[in-house]
Amino acid sequence: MMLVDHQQAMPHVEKLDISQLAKQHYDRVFRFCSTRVGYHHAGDAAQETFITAQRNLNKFRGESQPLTWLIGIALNECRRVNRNNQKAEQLPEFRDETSQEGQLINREVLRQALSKLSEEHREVVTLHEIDGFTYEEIAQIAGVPVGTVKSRLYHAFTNLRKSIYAPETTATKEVN
Amino acid sequence: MENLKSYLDGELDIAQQAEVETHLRNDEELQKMVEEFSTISSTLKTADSGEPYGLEKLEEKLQEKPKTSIYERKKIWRLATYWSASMACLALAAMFVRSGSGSSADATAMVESGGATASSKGVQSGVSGGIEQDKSQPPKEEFAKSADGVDSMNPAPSAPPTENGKSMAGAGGDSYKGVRAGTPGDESASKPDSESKVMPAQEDALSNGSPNVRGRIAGAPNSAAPSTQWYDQVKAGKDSATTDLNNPTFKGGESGFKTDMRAIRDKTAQPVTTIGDTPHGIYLERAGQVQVKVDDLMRAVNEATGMVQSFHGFVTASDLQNQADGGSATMTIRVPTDSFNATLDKLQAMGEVLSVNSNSQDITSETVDQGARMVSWADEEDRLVKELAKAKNNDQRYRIRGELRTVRANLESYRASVKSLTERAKYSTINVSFVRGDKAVKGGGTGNWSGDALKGAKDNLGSIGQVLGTLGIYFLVFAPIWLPFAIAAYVIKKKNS
Repeated sequence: MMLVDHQQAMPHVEKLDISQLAKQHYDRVFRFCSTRVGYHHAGDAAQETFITAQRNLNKFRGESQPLTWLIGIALNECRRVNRNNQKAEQLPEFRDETSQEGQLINREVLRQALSKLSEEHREVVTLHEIDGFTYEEIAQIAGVPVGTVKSRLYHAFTNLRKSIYAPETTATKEVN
Repeated sequence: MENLKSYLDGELDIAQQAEVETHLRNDEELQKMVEEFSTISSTLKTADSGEPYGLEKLEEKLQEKPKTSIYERKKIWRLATYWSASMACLALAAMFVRSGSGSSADATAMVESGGATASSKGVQSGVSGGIEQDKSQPPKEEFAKSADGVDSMNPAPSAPPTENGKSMAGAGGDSYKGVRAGTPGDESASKPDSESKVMPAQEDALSNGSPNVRGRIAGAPNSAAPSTQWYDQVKAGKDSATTDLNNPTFKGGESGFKTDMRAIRDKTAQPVTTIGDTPHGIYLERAGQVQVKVDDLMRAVNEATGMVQSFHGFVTASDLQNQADGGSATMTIRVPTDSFNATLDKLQAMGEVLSVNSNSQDITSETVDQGARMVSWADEEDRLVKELAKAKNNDQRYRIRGELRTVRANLESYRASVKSLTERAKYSTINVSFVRGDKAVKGGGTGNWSGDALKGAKDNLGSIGQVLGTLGIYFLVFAPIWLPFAIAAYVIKKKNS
C-alpha cells in the first residue's frame, strides 16, 4: 500500500492512497479510455494509468482534483496506445435509443460529424458531453483557459449542427 | 451567440443568462439552434463505453512492486542509443589512432610476428631470434641459453658445438691446451701493431685451461652478442674475469667477452659456433630496400615512422613529394637488427610491393679482431699501471707513463672501432620508397573489397578493444576519485525519490 503524505509538503492535500483512488475513479477512467482507444484496449490503458499514477504520486501537487490528474495521465496513455497501435483516436460508440422527446440523431451520422471536427474541438466535446467534466475541469485537463473551453465548445457544436442538420448545404457550399 | 452553449450547460451567471433568454424570446432561428444543440448533446450522452473490467487485476498490480514504466524503458533505449553513439565515436577514434601513428597492439603483433618469422628463416632469423631474446633478459643471462633453449655456456658433452656440421671439439673442449701449446708463436701474430711493440701479458685463466674456460671458449662467439656496454667495462672486469671464469655459475658478461677475445686472438677458438641450425655470434651488418605503392603518401610515411618508433628504431632521413598527379616519398630508417625482418614484412604489408631486396655483410672477423686487439691493449695498460705502482725512481715512472699514454691512445682507438662495429651490427638500415598509385592495396589487403573490409573491421575491432581496455584500466585506477561522487549522487537521488 503506497501512501504519500502530502499534508507534510502541502497541508491542504490529504493523504493519497492509490488503491483508494482506483476504487473511486477506475470506472470513469475506464470509460474515458474506452471512448478513445476502444473497449478492448480500455482495460490496459486504464490499468497503466493507475500504475503510472502510483509511480508519480509524489509529483501530485494537489492543485487539481485527483480525478482530473488521473484523466490527464489517462489522456497521455490513450495517445500512446493509439500511437503504438498505429490508429487515429477512436470515436465513441453510441447506443441506438430514443429519448422522451422523440427520435435522436442517427448514431452513424453523429460519428461522421464528430470525425469531421478538429482534434481540439472533438476533445472538448467528448470531455464535456460524454465524460461529464465541467468547464473548469476541462480547462485543467487540456491546460487551456476556461474561456477557450467555452469558445471551442460553441464552435464545435456549431460545426456538428451544420454537419448533421444541413449536410446538403455544406456539401453544396463545398462543391461551389 | 457564443454564450448559447454555456447557457444550455448552466455555466452563465444570472445577468448573462437573462440576456440570452431575451434574445431567445425574439429570435426563432436562435430557438431552433438551441433545440438542435440540445438534441446533439442528448445524443452524445448516449455514448456507450461498455462495462468496465480489470479493476481486480489492477489492484493486484498495485500491490506488486512497481515495474519499469514505458518512460523508463524509453530511458533505457535512450541510454542504449548514447552507448552505441559512444562506441561509434570510440571506433572512429581508434581508426584515427591506427591511421595516425599505428597502435601499440600492432607493434606488439609485429614484434611477435618478427620473432615467429625469425625462428623460421634460417641464418638471418637465427640472428634476429637470438638478439630478441638478449633484449628480454639481463645482460649476464644473455649467454645462459640460446634462443632454442640450449645452454651455450655448458654444452652437453654428447652434443658439442659444431660449425657447418663439423665437430668443434678441437676448437674448444679438452684439446684447447694442446692447440695453444702447439702454436706458441701465434701469440706474436696478435700484437696490436708490430713486433717492436710490447705484447700484453698472458696472465689470465686461459693458462689454467679449466673446463669452465674451455666451455666458455666453445661458446665464445655466442657470448659476444652485440652489446654496447661491455667495452666500457673491460678494465673493470679484467680482474674479475679470472674469478668469474672459475666460477661454475658464471653466465657470461663483459669479462667473459674479454676472455673470448683473448682466446680468439691466440687462435685457440673459432669466432663462430653453431647450436643446432642457428648460428650465434655472427656480426652481420644488414641492409634492405623496399619500394611500395600506396594510396596515401603522408599516411604511409606517418605509419612507417610510428612503426619504426615502436621497434625502437629511428628515421635518419625522409623526403616527401606529394603532387597532384603522383608523388613519392623516401625514407632511410634504422631499426634494431632483431626487428629487421619484422620491419621489412610490415613495410611490405603497407601496399603493393614493387621491389624488395635485402643483403647482409659479415663483419664478425673484423669485430673479433678489433675486440681482441682492444683487450690486449687493456691488459697492457693494466700491466703498466701495476708496474708504475712498483717503480722505484722517477726515471722509471716517466718511462712507464710515456708508454701508458701510448697504450691508452691505442686502447681508445680500438674501443671506438669496436663500438662502431657493434653499432653497425646492432642496427640495420632500410631504404624505403613509397610511390602513389591509384590501385594500390592498402594495409596488405587482399585486393577484393569484402576481404579488405573484413580485415579492416577486424583490425578496428582490436583497436576498439584496446581503447576500451585502456579506458577500463583508467576507470579502475581512478575509482577512488569518482566512486565517492557516484555513491553520493546515488544516495541523493534515492533520497529524493
